[in-house]
Amino acid sequence: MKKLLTIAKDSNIKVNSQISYFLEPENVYLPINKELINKMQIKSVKKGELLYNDIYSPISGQLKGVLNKNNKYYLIIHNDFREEDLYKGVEEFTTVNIKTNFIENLKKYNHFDWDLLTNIKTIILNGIEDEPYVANKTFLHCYETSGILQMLDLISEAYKIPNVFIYLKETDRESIEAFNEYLGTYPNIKIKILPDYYPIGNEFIMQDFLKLTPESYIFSTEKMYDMYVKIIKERVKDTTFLTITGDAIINPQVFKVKIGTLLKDIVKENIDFIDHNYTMYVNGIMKSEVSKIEDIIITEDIRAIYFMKNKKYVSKDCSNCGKCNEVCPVNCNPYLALKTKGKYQNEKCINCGLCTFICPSYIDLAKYLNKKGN
Amino acid sequence: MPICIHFENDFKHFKEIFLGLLFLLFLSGFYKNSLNYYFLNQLNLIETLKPLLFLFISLGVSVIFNFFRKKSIWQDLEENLILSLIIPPAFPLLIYLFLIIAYNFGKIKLKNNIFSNILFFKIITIIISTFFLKINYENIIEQTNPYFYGTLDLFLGKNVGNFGTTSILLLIFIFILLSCNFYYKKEMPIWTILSYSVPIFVFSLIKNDFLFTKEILNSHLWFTAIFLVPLNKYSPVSKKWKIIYSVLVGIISFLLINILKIEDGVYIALLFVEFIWGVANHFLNKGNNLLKIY
Repeated sequence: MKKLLTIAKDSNIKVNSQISYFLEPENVYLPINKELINKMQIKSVKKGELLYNDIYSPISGQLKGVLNKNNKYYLIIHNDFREEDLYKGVEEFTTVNIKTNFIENLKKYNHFDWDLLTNIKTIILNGIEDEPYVANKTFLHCYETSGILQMLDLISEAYKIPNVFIYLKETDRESIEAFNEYLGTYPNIKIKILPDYYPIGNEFIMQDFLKLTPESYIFSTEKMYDMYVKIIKERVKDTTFLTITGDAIINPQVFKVKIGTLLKDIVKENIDFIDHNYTMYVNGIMKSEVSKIEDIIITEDIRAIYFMKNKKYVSKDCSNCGKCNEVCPVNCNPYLALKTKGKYQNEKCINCGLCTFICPSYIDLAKYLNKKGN
Repeated sequence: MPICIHFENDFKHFKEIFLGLLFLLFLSGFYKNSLNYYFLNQLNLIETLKPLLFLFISLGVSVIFNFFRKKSIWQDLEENLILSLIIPPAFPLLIYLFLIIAYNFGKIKLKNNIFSNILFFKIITIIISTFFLKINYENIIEQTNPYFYGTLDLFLGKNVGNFGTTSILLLIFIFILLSCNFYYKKEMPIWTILSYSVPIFVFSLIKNDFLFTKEILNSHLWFTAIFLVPLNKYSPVSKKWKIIYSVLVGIISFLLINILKIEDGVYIALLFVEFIWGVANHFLNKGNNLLKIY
């Protein structure tokens, strides 16, 4: 296992300690296949109503039409702000109800292969963010602690898994406190603290760092919460956490937003800029892609938006220091990728961006190593 | 993708530290080769200040060339500072000026040379000193007065050698400081010095000649190991090859001190290893062969 790096935090890139909400967008935009467009009819929909292929409406309102954005199609739902819920009046399950035939209930959640848990002795709940400066998990831990723990406990009980650990980062005090408050109720669940290394939140790196055996299984807290909402609450997940930060804005914060909201709408109402000469990064500054505000529609895959002041890092010739190879957590040889101008590619690359981060010549090594960057 | 965050221990800081440490070496050389004798009334003021001209020539020519090449005037300053440290103290100033100008011209032409420019310069000065000027590494006073330097003298820097690289104590101090920097290839000097010193020690044990162990305190070897062997542009990047490269330099230096002058062996050894390295890299890379040794 290679020594991982601690990324020094920039005090200009941090988020507000209070969560912000953006739950009443005027319109939401849901991705739709081109073939399905003609089958959709203009009608009223209720919150939580199944529209097509696993896509549920996050709001109540009227189907308004289809938006074509960069050859991707989105169904537009105009919000009537009535929040008419399909599940209004449906009684929530109590723990006693859930425990009967729990494994059968779990199998209804088809986003996970439950057979994987049959020979597992240890469940690890990964509560560490994969990217620096993202605080979605911290807020999820603080606001949904009981749900996450309840789900974790039920799974471990159903599959008779003796060891259940929640791994948190030493700097994430809020999450540690939030879980500690509830742990008395779940004596089988233990918290373990990991150092603030990057990219320790990545599942593969964590597996390697903790030297986990095949008898262990890692869940992310977000996945656990998703299961909780869908299996125990029998609801549809219509909101997601989104971190908006960066050194080009005055008020970085974490939002709870409706899935399908336009980023443009959130930014317009909530974000003040220090500097309009910025670059926008999606899902992390270490590995993400650059994008424009107009192009982003919030989905569960969009976790963070960074507005960063344009820096003048000028790329120079490689100085042959070899630090890129030294810091690569999966030993995938970015130096060779650079020297062969991208002919050498390594599928092991997790696109963590450490090689680019460390390079004294400011070379974007990830571009050579990872096809995604090309 | 534009880079927006970067490692805080920037390479620029490394260059600043590097430059500062080189200047420290220059000061030690200035004290050892002239100021010391001035205080002992063995040199007059003009002769005392003469070594400063080495420094001014190096830095001045570098700045002028950078100005005309429309680059930052501070670029490659450290390289030119090294040049003023590695010449014999009695080297004529005029020839030095000519060599420095030639060096700065040659650097433009030989950008992708497989030898490091500094080493190439050093080899040229060795050839000129040995075959044309017939001078060694003694300074003006050492040339005319008898001297004997003990082990402690060698260690502290009272020693015959390059103008500014004789103090092993100072070199060790500099090595420790450089090692704290993330971008310095610290394992390379260690392996070079070890692979040079261990055979000397074993050799002296076998021959029962412990005076030979003094050769471990060869300031040329220590300076080369700390400054020239880890030069990024010409040295390997992977841990395995860094060790092989350094060990080769150390062992060949040891072999050459028995054949050539002790002062010059290490430079010839490094030249040889750089050549082998460059050629091997060149041929293994042909036809997009991915077996590159790096």
